[in-house]
Amino acid sequence: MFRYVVRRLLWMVPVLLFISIITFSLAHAVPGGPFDREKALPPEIIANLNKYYGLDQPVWKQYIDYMGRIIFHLDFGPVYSSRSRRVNDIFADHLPVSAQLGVLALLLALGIGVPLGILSALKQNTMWDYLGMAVAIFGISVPGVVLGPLLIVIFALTLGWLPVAGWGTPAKMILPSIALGMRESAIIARLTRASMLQVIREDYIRTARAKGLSERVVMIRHALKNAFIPVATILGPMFAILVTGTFIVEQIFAIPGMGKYFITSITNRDYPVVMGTILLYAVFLVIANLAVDITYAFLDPRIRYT
Amino acid sequence: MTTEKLSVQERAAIRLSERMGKPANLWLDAWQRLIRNRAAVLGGIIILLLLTTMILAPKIVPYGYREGDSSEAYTVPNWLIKLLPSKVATYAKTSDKFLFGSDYLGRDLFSRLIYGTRVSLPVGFMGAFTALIIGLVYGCISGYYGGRIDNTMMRIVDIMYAFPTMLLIILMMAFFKSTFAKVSPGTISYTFNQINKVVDKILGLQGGGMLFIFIGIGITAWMGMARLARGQILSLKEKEFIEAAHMIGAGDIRIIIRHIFPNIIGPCIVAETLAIPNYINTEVFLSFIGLGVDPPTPSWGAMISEGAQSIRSYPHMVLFPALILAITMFAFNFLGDGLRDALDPKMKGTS
Repeated sequence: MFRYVVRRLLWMVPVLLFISIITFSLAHAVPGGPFDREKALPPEIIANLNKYYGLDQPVWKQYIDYMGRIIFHLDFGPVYSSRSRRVNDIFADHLPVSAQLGVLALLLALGIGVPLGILSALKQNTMWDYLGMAVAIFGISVPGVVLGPLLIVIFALTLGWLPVAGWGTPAKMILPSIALGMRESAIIARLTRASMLQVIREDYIRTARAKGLSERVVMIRHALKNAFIPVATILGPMFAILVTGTFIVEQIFAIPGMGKYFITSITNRDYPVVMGTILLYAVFLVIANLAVDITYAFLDPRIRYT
Repeated sequence: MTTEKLSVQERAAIRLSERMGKPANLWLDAWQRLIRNRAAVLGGIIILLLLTTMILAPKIVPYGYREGDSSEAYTVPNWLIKLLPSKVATYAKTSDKFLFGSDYLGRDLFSRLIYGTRVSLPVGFMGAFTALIIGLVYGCISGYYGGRIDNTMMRIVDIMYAFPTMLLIILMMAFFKSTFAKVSPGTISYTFNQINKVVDKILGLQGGGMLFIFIGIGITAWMGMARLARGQILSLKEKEFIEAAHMIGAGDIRIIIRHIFPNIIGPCIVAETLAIPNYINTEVFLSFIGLGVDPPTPSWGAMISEGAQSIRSYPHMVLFPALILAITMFAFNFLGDGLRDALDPKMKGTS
């Protein structure tokens, strides 16, 4: 197991290199530069700025310089749109906020999705099942861009129970977490139900019942553990996406997260910010997928890593 | 004995006996299963209504979607003011002139919502159509010829898959916006711009850049379909009837079109119907971040984005686009689920 984890972590290096090369070339392939404004700057100033930030170098050299700074100094470079800040500052200030929101949304999604999926599967074609699937179709049909404003209008403006927007206190975290997590909980509920329905028809469940285990033990120890494997699979990418910031929900609730920087950096050609956020996403994705693969071994003893 | 008193089994038996002697027909069976599914029928009716609205938009709207009088900005309709938080009534202008109120430029929200169908629905259908065409052709070639062709083609799909779709589509839209903004006649960009104008004209919008959204969504959406089509073909091409077709000398193209297509098209259409909400959502997302349709073309995503900025003081601006978007998504999901259950009853209830 230990060797497997080390090997997977070492695999991160080529994966990240590959992603960084593709992102870097794609970002630079888009015409326009970071200093294009509505009101054009004088060419001399642009030339000076380009020189200052090393943008007058060939792209491959810029890439090597950039990677060198990350590897040797852990420095993700400057932010073109704001001279006093660097990408590291953006990470330090805004990543914790996005991560909090993402983790809360994920916990909510698991807390709603998994029980709902199990209930729907165990009581198939009853009221519970229909209720569960109604919630699931609601979650899938009502994206955060719709749910966010609706939640604000109902719970913050009309009922006045919760604050409209902002971040920092627990009360402010409730609505955005719901807006972000509802869709994921619907996906998890559907997947849990489908995989649970498949598992409870397996022979080993019949065996477990036949040897006299209580229904609870059969369901939790035997059915749920196996049914959770496909759910765990989607949790990896879901975690990476939620934690690195989601623009729409953060924008609607005025949350100072990473999402804004990801979007604006692309439209502004703020190359170091684009690269930084994508690399961050990739690191989260690879680590989350590794964590998922490790949980497989706990869920299903037949899966062994050597 | 009246029909209400019959049990489910008896009714099923009657249906079966009515069918006796008639040849089995996949599509007829599927249709009958579909129209018995109430949610799917409701979804279908809503979609038909939306489509009618889209076509008849100029006849329905009371005002133009571009024109507004800024002295009439932020008016809240009288019927709504009682439902909104009481403090809104203290400062908001109310009027009966606009059914759903007006936005920050005094444009009629109702007219903009109606014209919004000309953005969202074409995006949904064109997204599904492009994904279906590219994905089917790609998947068919890959799956049918197999071997090294299959390997190379599927690795390309894998690489495209591994790349974050959102980044790709944002980069592409940024590229389109900057490349096609100012162009001179004679270049490829100019040709694209002309095609775009034709597309906007067909949709009855004065500018909007719909072609670029179609392309953006099309390029990022076909991979799933290619995988699905390939998987279907892999299991199909070893079947006896394909072998028989080979035996009597049918060519590859004929086999693919006459024998393989009809057998795989069902699941592919179902998958694309279920994907339509995603395409609509992508356009909403793009318009929300300002990379979608060009203003003043009304997109529900842009309207939600504008409304979200003044949600504290004028909640009505965000409420209506959000609701109509939710209704549309429900309709497509209901119909998609119903189609899946109807065409492939085995799949019922799975994701």
